Amino acid sequence: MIPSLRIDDRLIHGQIALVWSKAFGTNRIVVANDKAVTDEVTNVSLKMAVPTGIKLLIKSVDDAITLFHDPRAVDASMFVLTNCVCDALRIVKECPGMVQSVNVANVGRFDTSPTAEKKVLSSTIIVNPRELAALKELADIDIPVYQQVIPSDVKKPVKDILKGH
Amino acid sequence: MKQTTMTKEDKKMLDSIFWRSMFLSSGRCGGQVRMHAVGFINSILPALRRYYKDNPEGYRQALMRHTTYFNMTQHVSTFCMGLVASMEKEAAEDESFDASSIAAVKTSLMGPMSGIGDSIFWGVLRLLAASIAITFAASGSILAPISFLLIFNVPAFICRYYLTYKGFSLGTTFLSDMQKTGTIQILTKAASILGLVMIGAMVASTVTFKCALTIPVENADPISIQTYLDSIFKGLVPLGLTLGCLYAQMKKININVIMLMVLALAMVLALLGIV
Amino acid sequence: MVVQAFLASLAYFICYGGNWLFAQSMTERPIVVGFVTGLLLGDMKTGIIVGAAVEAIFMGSVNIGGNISAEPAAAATFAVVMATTQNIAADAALALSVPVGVFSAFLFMIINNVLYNFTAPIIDRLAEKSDDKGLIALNYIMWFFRFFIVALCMFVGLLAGGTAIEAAINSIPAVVLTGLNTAGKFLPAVGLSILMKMLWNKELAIYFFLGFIMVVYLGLPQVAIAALAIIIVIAVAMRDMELNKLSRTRETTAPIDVEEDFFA
Repeated sequence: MIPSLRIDDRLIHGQIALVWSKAFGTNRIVVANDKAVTDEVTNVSLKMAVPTGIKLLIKSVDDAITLFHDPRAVDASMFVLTNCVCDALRIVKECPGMVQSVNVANVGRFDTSPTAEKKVLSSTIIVNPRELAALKELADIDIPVYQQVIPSDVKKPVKDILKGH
Repeated sequence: MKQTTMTKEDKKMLDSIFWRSMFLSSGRCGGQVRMHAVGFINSILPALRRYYKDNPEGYRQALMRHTTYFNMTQHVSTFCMGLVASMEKEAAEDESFDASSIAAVKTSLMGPMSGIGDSIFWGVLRLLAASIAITFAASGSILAPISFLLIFNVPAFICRYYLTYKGFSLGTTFLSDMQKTGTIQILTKAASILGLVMIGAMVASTVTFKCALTIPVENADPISIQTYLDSIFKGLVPLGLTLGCLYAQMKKININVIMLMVLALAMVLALLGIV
Repeated sequence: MVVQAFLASLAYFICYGGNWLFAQSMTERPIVVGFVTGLLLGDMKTGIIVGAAVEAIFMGSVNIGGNISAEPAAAATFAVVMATTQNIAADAALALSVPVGVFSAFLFMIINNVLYNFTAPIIDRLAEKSDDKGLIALNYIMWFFRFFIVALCMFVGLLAGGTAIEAAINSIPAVVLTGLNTAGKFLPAVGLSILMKMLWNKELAIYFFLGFIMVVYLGLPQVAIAALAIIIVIAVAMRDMELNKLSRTRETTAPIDVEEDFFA
């Protein structure tokens, strides 16, 4: 069971892991990111960023989807992180019923595609055409999809952010 | 990342980064939003200037990517600088290198490294230095400030220097090795033990309480309540007070509120004539 | 008083500003601030003694993550000035230094976290132009302004308040002074508890009591306690490393399932 899937371009950083896992009452975090599995630098720094007492799994998106079909995963509560909308959309679509909400927190700030193509939806959501299409599709799925950077922020529906785009 | 042998030029660059890192927290330009970003740029300039010598656009991009928020315990921050220098080298030499990973690594190192750095340098080393210096200060000896500065700074500078080189040559393998062998945990635990012993000693010597109340006895000296308290456990009140403050913090009471409560307690005790 | 206020503000600027200019080398701590202020005011001994007393109170107020609840350098400067130039008992000067420290922290927070936020765009503009010399200069200019402003406030405060504070203290009833003195003796508990929270966990709590007992019952000096503590730490660390080695060899013989552990 995944009470919340967070999209954050920096994956785990600062106090995020601690604050959010506390907010959802779970100590399990899954990072679903292809690069994090192969790139040693990212891999180690993610492990470093996790506070003690929190269990972390770093999986490629494919492996993460396999993991979420595991019967043990249905009973265990997990906090999932991806760094782009496309990966999040795949997980939501291929694991029906698992993801209960999606938090589109920080997107695309390190995206290197041409500036002209990118659209700034909010100060922390910057999308290229592919990501925008994925975000639109995600917003139409029947689960809450919102932006909430830190738990004390108000949940802002992504549909509102997408209006006019 | 594999271990590289140091050339003379590497050493020159790293020494320069080491010295420049001293000024990391000077400006704080950009306030809370950027913290020590400018200080960080200042520190790694020798690396950027070297690797982007013939590439002004690359240099500009590199400067721009380091304008983001940076905050890390200064004495361990050189590890991050050395690491960034080695990554900038790769970025400058290899077109396909994803430069965004530099920012990502920097960001993810901040939290954990400051966590360890703060507790070792602020919680333990400074406390150790202060507790020894305070003993000298009782007689007004000049040894107090001198010993304080030496006990803190000698290890701090050695650590800063060592980590500059380690960050550059070993990069993240250093961290992953430390993590795999559990060295980080052992180090943190050792620092915590040392810190806690010293805090216990400091509580005993700096937090003081003496009860002024006495029980009058006919035809004899009055009995002081403090004598009774001491016979139960010496330093019972200071110990209880400190543990109370700790408990209040764990209950998430704001530290300024705790401070005011302690002030109020002192006033009430004075008004009641207990102290 | 003008000369004394100037010298004290200068000491404050050198110590506090110097600390942040160069390597956070702890010159901002009361032990050093008290020494320098005392030296400039011509009474080094009092400076060191008062500085050490302020240090004990502000032991736990450390600048972590840019948040401070009380700023020890201003408190130390103030206490030393009061104790050396005014007719005020060191204990009362100590208790009064607490509100000074809190106010100074507040002032500094406004400069650092509110005013300086507006300077962020300058960084971007300089970086975009590849103006590295400008960035270097910016680091030092911004440093100077931060500490010049607070040192100026210290100067004005000492000049305006110095004699007024003496008069005020002399009119305070004795019982309130006793209360302030007691507060000075209690406040280190707050500071030390902040540090404790940083290091505290249930298994290590016993070591805190060890340090306490070594002073209260054994009366050992701090240097001896530090040496004993280091011996204990080395012994514990060596044992932990052995244990680690053991568990690693066991791990290689029977690899644990990462996912199994994750769902456990």
